Amino acid sequence: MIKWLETLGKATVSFLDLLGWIASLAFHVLVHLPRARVDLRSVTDQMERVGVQSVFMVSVISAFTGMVMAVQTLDQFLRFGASGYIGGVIALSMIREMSPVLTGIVVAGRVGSSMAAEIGTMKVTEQLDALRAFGLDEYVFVGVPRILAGLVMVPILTIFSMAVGTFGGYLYVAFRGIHPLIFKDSIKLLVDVYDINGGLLKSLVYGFVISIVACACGFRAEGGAKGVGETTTLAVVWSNMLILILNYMLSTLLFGGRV
Amino acid sequence: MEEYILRFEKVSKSFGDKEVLRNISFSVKKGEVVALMGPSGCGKTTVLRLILRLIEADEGEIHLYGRDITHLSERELIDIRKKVGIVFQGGALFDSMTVFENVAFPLRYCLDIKDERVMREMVSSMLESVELPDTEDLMPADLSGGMRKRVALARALVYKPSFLLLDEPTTGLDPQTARHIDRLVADLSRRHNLSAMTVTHDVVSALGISNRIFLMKEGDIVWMGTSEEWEASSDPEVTSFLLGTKSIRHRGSAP
Repeated sequence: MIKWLETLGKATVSFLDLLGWIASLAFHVLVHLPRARVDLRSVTDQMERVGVQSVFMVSVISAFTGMVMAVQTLDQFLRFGASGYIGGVIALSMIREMSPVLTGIVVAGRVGSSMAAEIGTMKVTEQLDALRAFGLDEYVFVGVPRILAGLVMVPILTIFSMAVGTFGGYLYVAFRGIHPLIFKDSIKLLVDVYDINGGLLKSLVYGFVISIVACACGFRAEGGAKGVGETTTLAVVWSNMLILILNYMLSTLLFGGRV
Repeated sequence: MEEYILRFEKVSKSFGDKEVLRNISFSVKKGEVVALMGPSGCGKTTVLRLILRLIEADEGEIHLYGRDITHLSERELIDIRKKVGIVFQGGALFDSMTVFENVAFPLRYCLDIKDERVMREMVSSMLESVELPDTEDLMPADLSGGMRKRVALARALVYKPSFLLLDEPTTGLDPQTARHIDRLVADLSRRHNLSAMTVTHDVVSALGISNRIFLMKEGDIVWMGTSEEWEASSDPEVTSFLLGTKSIRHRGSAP
């Protein structure tokens, strides 16, 4: 019991310590951004890495999630004679919850981990020191392109996921004989612009969280290959945890009590 | 009055409970090449990192180009850092960039050169002087250890710093490549009238390129003198270091 409490205490301290470091890194980057020299090629490279290279994985995961939602809900809707709402419910779930969270988790696993590993390797091989020696702020020079890429590309991927996921649900529903117009009309009925904006706001927050956590973990890497490996794991674990915690908070804030 | 480029005054540094530097003082004159020698873990690399303030000193003053850098802000340090070239132990080449982009990096960010043609010419000429012509398009992963060090040297020298720091430039290299790098450093420092500080435990290398040698032991400088004094020295610290590195047989065999 004591050992369990000790482990819990250590994890809590480590989480709070990381949160503090993330906050101070974010503050540092924001304060120094106006005078920063940002390598535009690095920004576009990171955007390609976060966005273009994640499209396929986000598409597959979103399509199958939409289909599974249709499989799980269609029969219940048919049972209560509410099949006319199926399209709206699937679209609403994708737009408000599934797409922002799934995209965030996919990007955290695929890109956040490699960002943390890359920055960690730069740290342990003295590349970050070399940047400082050339008179650059390594936190801004390395961090800003990655944060910008996260802020821009995660919402774009989320829009993509919303469309593909809803289409996945539609495929299953159409296969079960529901007319496409019924599906489309129910989306019109249940989904409005506020829902899309809410979903995108969430994805913007997750894009920031993924990149800042990856950078924060990478900048703290120590002790060679082992340290870089631990950093990578830490970045994925904390990103996913923060995404899920923030998702609850944002859902309550944005959609709580809203019909 | 002699002009100093670097002066350490009673500098101490600890990492946790471990005291790495103990109250050390020394100076490097303009145009002088100093070799900092000593066994592993004696604090040599810490000295180099303190010179650029990549780490903070716990106590003491570090005067670089006449200014005490221990009290400068990061912003004030930028201009001073740009006058110093450094070759890190592993080269610290940027993995995601080609050799050209690595060597052009300080031109772009320290000298603010935007003309691609000028940059190409400067990089090519620098790569030729480290005997690596036509390697511009290679990635660091494609280079051998010796080539990486030479590219790092080219990157450190391309923007013509007046003070060069070298962290074990010959460690891990075969003797032929190591002597080649020594010759390059000696030749470039003569041609560009550079001051330099090299951290090494390669006695042959130190004797080959430096005017003065500092011997460190357990965070302290235990011996200081010219290369000639080193060769003639019967100081127990020098002898013990030479015996420790099993290099006594190389005494006097500069490249």
